[in-house]
Amino acid sequence: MARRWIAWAGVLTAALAFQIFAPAPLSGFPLLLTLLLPLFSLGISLPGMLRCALTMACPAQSVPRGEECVFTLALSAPGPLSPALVELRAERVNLLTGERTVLRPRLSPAVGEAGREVGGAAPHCGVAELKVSRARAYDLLGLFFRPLPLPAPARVLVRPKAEEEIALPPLPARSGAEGCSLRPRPGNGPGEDYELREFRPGDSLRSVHWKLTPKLDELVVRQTLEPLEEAVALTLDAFGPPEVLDRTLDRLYTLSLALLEREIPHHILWAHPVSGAVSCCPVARRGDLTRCLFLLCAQPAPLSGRSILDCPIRLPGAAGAVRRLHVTADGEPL
Amino acid sequence: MRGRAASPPLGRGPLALLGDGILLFLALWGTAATLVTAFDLTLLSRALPLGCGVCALVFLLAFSLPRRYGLLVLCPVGAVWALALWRLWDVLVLGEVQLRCGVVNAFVTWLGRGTYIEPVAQLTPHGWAAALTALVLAALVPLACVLALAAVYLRSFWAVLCLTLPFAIIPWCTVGAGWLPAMALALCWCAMALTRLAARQGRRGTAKITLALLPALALLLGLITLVTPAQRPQWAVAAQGRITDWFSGLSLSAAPEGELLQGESTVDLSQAGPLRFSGRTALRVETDLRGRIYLRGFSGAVYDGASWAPLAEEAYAGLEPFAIAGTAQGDEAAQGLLRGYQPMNYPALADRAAFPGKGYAACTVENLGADPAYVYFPYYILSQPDELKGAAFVHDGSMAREQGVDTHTLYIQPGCSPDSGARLTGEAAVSQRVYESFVYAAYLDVPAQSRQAVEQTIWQLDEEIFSALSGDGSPAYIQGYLQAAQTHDGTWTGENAFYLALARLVGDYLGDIARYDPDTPAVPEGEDFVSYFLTQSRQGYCMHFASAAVLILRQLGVPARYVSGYVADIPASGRADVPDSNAHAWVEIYLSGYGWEPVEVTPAYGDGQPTVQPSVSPTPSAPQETAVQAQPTPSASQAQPTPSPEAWDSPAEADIPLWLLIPAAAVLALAVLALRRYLARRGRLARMKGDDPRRGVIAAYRYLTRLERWGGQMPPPVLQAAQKASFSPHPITRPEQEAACAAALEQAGTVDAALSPLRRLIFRYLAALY
Repeated sequence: MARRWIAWAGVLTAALAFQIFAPAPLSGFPLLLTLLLPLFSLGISLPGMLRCALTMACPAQSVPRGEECVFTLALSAPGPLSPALVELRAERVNLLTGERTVLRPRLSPAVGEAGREVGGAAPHCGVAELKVSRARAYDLLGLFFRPLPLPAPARVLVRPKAEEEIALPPLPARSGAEGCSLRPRPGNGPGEDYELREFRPGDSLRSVHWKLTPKLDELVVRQTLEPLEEAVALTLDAFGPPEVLDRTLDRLYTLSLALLEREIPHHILWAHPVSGAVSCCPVARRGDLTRCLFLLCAQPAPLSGRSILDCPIRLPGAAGAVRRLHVTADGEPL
Repeated sequence: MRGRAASPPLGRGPLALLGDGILLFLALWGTAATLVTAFDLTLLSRALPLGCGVCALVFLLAFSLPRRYGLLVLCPVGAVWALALWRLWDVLVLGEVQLRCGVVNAFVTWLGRGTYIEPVAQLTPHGWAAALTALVLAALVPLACVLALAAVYLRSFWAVLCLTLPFAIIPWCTVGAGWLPAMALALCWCAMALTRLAARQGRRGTAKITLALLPALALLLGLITLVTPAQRPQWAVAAQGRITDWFSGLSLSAAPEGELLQGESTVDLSQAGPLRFSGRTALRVETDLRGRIYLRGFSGAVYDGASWAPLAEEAYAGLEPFAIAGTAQGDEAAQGLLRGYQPMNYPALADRAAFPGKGYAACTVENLGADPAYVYFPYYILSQPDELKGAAFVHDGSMAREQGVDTHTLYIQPGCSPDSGARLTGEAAVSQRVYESFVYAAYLDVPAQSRQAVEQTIWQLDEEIFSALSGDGSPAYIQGYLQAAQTHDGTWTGENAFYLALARLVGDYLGDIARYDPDTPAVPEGEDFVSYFLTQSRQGYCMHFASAAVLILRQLGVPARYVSGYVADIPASGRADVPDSNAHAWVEIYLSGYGWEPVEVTPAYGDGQPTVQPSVSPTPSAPQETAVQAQPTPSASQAQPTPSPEAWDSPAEADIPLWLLIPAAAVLALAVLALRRYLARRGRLARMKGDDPRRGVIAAYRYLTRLERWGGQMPPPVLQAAQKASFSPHPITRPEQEAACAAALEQAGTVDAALSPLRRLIFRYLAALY
């Protein structure tokens, strides 16, 4: 815009010189025209500038890593007199890796350009956020502008890719399946599975196995067993270079999908790289996984930080053992 | 995403074609019609608009099609054009002759000088119109091609403006042009300027905007035409005067200081066309005198038919050494034949001798825009040659200015008159007698080519006088002359009174037979200036009347010379700015025993006579009663009339010119910004690399925080180090400090490189962050 004002000042100076030095009749015409034309332009464009509104949306909630991450900027300028030019200044940030790109798209509603897609390749996992920091609607000459209300930032998850060949660790069986662990049921009770043990003070007399007791000359209690549900926790370190994080997240993603295929609900845990606060996301369905990845990838990942392995893990609602699988970029999950 | 589409879109819609076609036609016809109307060229009826229309259509099509198809149109058009040029070459040559005549004649009319030209070939008016039309149409083709490239293909407003403005600005500034073509061009420019931004984004929608804007713009242009005043406003005229004054002040002579400047050696009468003035201030006068005063500059003694020139140096050989102060050696030699007196002082000295109690007046003249070589001074100058500072008399004709001295204060003896009876006495009288014989030898020449016209005029005047004497009826001025020339007893008055009356008679007679016209064109080449004025044109202005009067008076035996200078009307304040329009020419005649006396001969100056005594305001205390006898200098004990270059203190003017203040302020501002940037950088480095690593890390962190607003990133190691420095009891090591500092500087460089040039300037100099 500065260049346009400088050009207009140059024309004004020339018109002023013409008025002063040229003896021609109507020598003041160029000066008046130069002074009035910007006002004319503003008058023509002002209704459109005032009615112009900018919105932003993203067609997809998530895109795979490596593909185009596209946002749509839409202008609504009802009426025949639309601004000649709308200049935007937007910033696309990967919240996880901190990558930042400044975009300066231009739209011209006057020629019917109502929207534009902006975006680019998303080489790394994370949450791509597009935020418009400045939007100006200009008049025909481009000398005057009106700042437009800024739309809310839009976010898209750049999700990891599922690895096809990954050596899955032994996964816990589902409850009731063969090989499933058993544990004594608190309060005993009826049940198919049971074990025999010696009498302890406090045991109910009903739980005494009277047939075996005379044979062994001691009180034998029939302890009912129930299947032990082992909680699964997938952990990862939310720091590191982007490439390492990509591989880690890919493996995490693949592992989580595999668990979901086996209908094994699990938790994904990570520690804040700086404060060490542990975040825990239960994953029982695919939507939970997406939401969890969103939370994970919206957090900036420094190059180094506190590891989840150094933090105690407590899974909400998990009374039994926790099967912990720590996902790294290389190697088997620990 | 910046930049515009370089290639035209495929398949342009009808609206786009219509819009671009209209713009192209407006630009083409506006340019061509401006030139046609400016130079008053006669073309065949409707040929120009039709030709412009056809050219616009053809090239619109050529540049709207895809490139390969467009070339298929352009090539045959070019071939046809070349063929037409070849076949019609003779006609085009005739057209060029007619065009040249039109252009030259238009400028001759505008300038009021030069000669009109006519084509030699004999063609009918229709034939000339046809030839000129052929030339204009032939020239239209390449113009249309280039304009179409700019307006249709490139859709560039600036390119169209650069292509069309030169054709229009010259006629508008000089000979003038038609209003309608000017409006057509203005409409095209405005439409392209208003659609420029939109056109960069998309061509198709621009057409609708163009077509919608054209009627509104036409209305706007019409309204502006109605409200624009026909004449230049007063502020513009005043501004022009100030600006030209300033430029004039810049033009300094190349002569070193102290050296007398060489002025124009002649007054060229052949260039005396219609009077045109810029309105700039030529002289600034502050004086005790009031009323109209004549400030003489150049005086011409030798007339050659087309100019006035001073006497040659050799003419003064008989008076050597001519009494110019400081040029001779020894007292006797210094005094010379004129006893050290300057002839231009004779009237003042005579008056002072006769009326010793009379006061004198001061007159300060500052040369702002007149001929820089001359000092313009009023009549009856009292300041003598050795009393001048910054100036010197040049023989008996003028006063030259010293380089570097613009203001001169001279002393005048007001109220001098040949009728007062004042006479020089003593050595001054001796000097005058010697000089008088010189004058009668040098100032009576009438060149042969003018003599016949002069004698004829004198003969006609004689007839008028005889008629008056015989009582057959004569103009009033002749009766007045006869009465002035005769004493109460019927005898002739003294010689001086007679000659003075005769000079006024000549002036009145010229005013009777000729008409004052400031727009008198220049004398045709080869004609004698005075003869042409007296016998043919009988119209002119001061230069004509003064030149004719000088020759007539010389022929009548009265020594006379041509003088040019300025006429100033001094108001009660005693200060006046004399514009260049007050330049004037008049006559001086030599009166025996008295000296040179000015005579006004131009009728437009009415009763104004240089000899009319200007009223004098209360003068400074007069010098003591000392008769100025045969002494080169007056013996006044009080302030000697020593002119000194005094500056004029005008309260409205600043001492430092504005043209110096603004660039100086800009340079100062730049220097301040540069210094601030340097100091900020030094301070920043000092804080980051200081002795305390903890403070250094925090300073680096704060610097990076400010860079984040410009797109910078906070490197995690710096963030961690800053947190450790702020919250941890552990000490910060020197390597950590250096690493944080290096990271901050690297980030600053990255941010600086990523910014646009303008933002980089702001980043560096206004924010002082790099």
